[in-house]
Amino acid sequence: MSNESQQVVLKHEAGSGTPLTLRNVSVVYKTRKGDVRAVRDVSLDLRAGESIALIGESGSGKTTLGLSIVRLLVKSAQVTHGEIIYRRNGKEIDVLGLSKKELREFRWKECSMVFQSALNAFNPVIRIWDQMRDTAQSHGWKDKKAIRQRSLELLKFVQLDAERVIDAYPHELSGGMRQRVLIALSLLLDPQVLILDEPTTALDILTQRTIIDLLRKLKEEQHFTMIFISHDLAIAAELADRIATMYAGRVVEVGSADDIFYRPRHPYTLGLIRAVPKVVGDFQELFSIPGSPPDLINMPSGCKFHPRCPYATDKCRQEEPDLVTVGPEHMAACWHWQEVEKELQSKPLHSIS
Amino acid sequence: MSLIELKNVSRTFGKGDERVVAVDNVSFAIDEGEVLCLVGESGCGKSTTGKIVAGLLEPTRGQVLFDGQDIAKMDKESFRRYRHSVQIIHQDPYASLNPTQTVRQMITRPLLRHHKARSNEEAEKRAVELLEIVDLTPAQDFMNKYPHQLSGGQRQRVSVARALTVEPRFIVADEAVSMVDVSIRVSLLNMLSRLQDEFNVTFLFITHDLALAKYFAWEGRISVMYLGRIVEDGPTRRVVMDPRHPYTQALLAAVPEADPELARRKRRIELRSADIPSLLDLPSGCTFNPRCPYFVAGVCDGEVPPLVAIPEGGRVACPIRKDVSIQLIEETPAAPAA
Amino acid sequence: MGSVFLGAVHSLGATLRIMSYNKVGFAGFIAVMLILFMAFIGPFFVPLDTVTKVDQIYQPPNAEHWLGTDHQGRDIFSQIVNGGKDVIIVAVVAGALSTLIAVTFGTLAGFAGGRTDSVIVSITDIVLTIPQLPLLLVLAALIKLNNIFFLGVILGALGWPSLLRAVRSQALSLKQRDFVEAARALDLGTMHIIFREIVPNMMTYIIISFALAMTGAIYAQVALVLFGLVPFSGSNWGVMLSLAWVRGAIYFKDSIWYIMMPVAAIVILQLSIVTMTRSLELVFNPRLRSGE
Ligand SMILES: Nc1ncnc2c1ncn2[C@@H]1O[C@H](COP(=O)(O)OP(=O)(O)O)[C@@H](O)[C@H]1O
Ligand SMILES: Nc1ncnc2c1ncn2[C@@H]1O[C@H](COP(=O)(O)OP(=O)(O)O)[C@@H](O)[C@H]1O
Ligand code: SF4
Ligand SMILES: [Mg+2]
Ligand SMILES: [Mg+2]
Repeated sequence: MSNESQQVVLKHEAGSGTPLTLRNVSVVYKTRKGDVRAVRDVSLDLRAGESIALIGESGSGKTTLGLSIVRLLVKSAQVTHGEIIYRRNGKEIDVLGLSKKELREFRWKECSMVFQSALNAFNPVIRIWDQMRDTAQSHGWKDKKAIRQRSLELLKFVQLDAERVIDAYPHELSGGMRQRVLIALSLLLDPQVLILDEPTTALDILTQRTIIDLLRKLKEEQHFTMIFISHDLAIAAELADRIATMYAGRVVEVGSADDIFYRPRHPYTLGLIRAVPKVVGDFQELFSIPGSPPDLINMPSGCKFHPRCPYATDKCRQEEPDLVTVGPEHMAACWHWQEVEKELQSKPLHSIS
Repeated sequence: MSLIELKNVSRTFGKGDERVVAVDNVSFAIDEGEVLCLVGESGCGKSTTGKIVAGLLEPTRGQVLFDGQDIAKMDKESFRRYRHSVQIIHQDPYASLNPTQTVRQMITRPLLRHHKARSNEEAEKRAVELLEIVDLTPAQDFMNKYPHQLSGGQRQRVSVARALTVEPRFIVADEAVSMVDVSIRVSLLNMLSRLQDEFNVTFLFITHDLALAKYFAWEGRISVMYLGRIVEDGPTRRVVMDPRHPYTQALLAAVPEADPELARRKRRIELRSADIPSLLDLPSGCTFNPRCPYFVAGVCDGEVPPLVAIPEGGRVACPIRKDVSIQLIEETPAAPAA
Repeated sequence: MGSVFLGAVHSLGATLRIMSYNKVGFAGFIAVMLILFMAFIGPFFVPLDTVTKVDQIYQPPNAEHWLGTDHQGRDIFSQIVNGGKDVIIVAVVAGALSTLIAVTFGTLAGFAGGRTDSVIVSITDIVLTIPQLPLLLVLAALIKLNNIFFLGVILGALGWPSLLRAVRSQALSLKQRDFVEAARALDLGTMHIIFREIVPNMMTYIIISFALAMTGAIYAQVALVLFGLVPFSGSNWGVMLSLAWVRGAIYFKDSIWYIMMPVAAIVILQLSIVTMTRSLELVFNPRLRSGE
């Protein structure tokens, strides 16, 4: 099966430059209890062909950030600050200024998102084919045959038995198959950027592996520009070129995958890495991060991580640190990142030499 | 004599065309103070096995022995003792506590009912002690809380404290940490390990996460389940470092690793099929045979292969591969998977 | 009742505070209290006006007769004040009885399963198929229904089946919950599981059903009076309505007040009971109490 699918070649044109730039984006949910500051002042550049992972515990604002890029936030949410700029072929688009109609195009042709909950949100009475046809037709594709051709190709690309799956109802497919259909669907109009929210969560290990390998193929063969959102560090380690750690709505560290995993400078990133066990290799001790994630309505003062941080000092309690450069292409928002560096010199993180 | 022993236990659900064998001829024994980890993908029968061990579900066939006694043949008093000795911690922190009760009620009621405390004051005191054991301190802050006022991790701790009211010797932890955040997971696991060290509690630790199993049961044993059967078991070190059953190998190779270098160097095992057979229509012989890369026609799809002991420790249900070790990490970084 | 089930006997003050979190519900609660006060204490202050005053028939509301007068010139307000007690008693008796039957046997059926379950379900199905109003009509023809407790009991004895079915299916699903399994593992006993684990989690539903059973009983008895099958002595909102009807009040423009007042009283009582349940829910469901 895998041999056959390798012959399928998508004609995806890798973009160039920086397809997506977020500048100081902040998102607030208005709730009865108060304003939930789910995303605070996030700036990120996404380069063409690169894959970036947003990691952090649940509630850290990852999904909210993803939804704000495709402008699918719920009504109670509001982007209070910032800019989202999308580029393709030298043209710049101000995403936050797009009209409803433009957004529909944008979401399929430029920047599409595979939602976490969508796995169960398939309309149960609509066949996969109808779903794909409707989507294509609503974007002006007329030629049914061409649509079917493209759909089959995509389903094959995601290593499904395309002829069978295309006429199936969602409930006839397993979780992993549905996830692959969703990925195929998101590729239908050949977007430049792909955002995947928890693409493997709730799937079994062997199924997770097929999804990861598929996504790696999209990345390495097709050079899609991708954003992975996951609370699971392993997905980031497997797929990301760069990683951004989020905590309490903020990006607190961003760097290459190797930097983040072997040379983290933010105590929270370090804490996460030390909390996650590996399967192969010898026993390794794990450490948990004390305390629990902050309440996003009444956040602590200063650095939002200070109540849980072993390095915290008075300064941390009073002033919130900004992202500073801690290495080449590597930034962290911590007053004491140098101490983290020192500690890692005595206890390096490399598991295999 | 083992504390708990399962002898050829099977459990079916449903009738006629709907009949599934959720647990098929499972046997294992757990000694006092030991940890046994049951791992496998969802739907393979882990929870069903756990419930049978905890006496919450009756096996369709086979025996459950507690302290060497068949629980189906116990008199009332012995069964009561068994009942109190075995407790279960559930996976979902949002479903395992009654939303209408305070932490105080959840913990003092079993204490009073089973005369572990003779008065309300004594129950209160003991409840505080138990909350401290599970690291919910200061305990008084938690006594009046309802479940919705607690975080997932705190709820799981309350579940454990509640289980401890009856001073169990054995705890079935069914995915007990799967739904809590990674940063908190380790402290929960460490708390459970402490119960094992300090109170000599025996554990059946159920998880789909091999990395967790390895961490929690490093000194113990792992049993790997696939579609209702145990396909491999043995000391954790052996199973993790030198897996023999092709399914165990596939699982270990497939687990995404939280380490880019490892992720690059981990060996890929290609399966012949990505589909998990339905319990309603299981393949004959070894149920892994349609997916197994080492499939040998006539052997693998004939008789159900029995679990056979291997000299390195434990048992393997694969006549083809039981004596063959494989390397899970490539010496040099693998070329990018294409 | 709920506080006993919950084991957390809130103080009266705490209960009121919790109820006040929902403003609409609390308004309903206050209204119910006022109606109860009017119906049970009011008659001591506002005696029933029984004197025929031919010069004052069918008056609209005015300073002397707040709600106007009837076909004999009697004060409607005094009739409203005096006519609520019986209606309320029948509603409470009927509502309580049908809820009690439904909850006890519904939970038992769901939890115990097996033969107990099938017996209870068959009986329920039989009762459910009996057409209620015709049966009441027959009953009324055979026996005297003028004892209000007796009427309440009969209405209650017929009103439980649909609630029982709902309670049973809730119990069935609650039985599967992890916390019930934990209670079994802790050997807390069947009574504990039913009354401390399962029933408290159905309280919201039970309260709403209780309110609906009460309003159902109100309708039923008014209907019975209207059909002239329940010879109520004295005053009663149903009797008022029936009298207004019989006297052909609807044909006179001026008599609108006479016929509207008992209707209004009944509607306001029902509305208050139903809105009050919103506050009662808060008492039984800690999750809803976001104020804490
Ligand atoms: N619809 C919503 N209304 C109010 N708050 C929300 C909503 N969705 C998410 N939040 C809150 O915003 C924060 C960030 O959520 P989310 O972006 O889903 O985080 P993540 O994806 O990292 O788990 C959380 O505290 C969450 O409770
Ligand atoms: N009460 C039940 N009724 C019917 N089928 C069940 C029941 N409990 C479990 N099963 C079936 O038995 C199989 C094993 O389930 P389970 O033991 O929960 O697996 P696991 O815990 O490994 O995910 C599944 O296919 C499940 O659908
Ligand atoms: S700024 Fe201070 S509190 Fe925040 S992570 Fe750094 S050391 Fe810890
Ligand atoms: Mg999310
Ligand atoms: Mg399970």
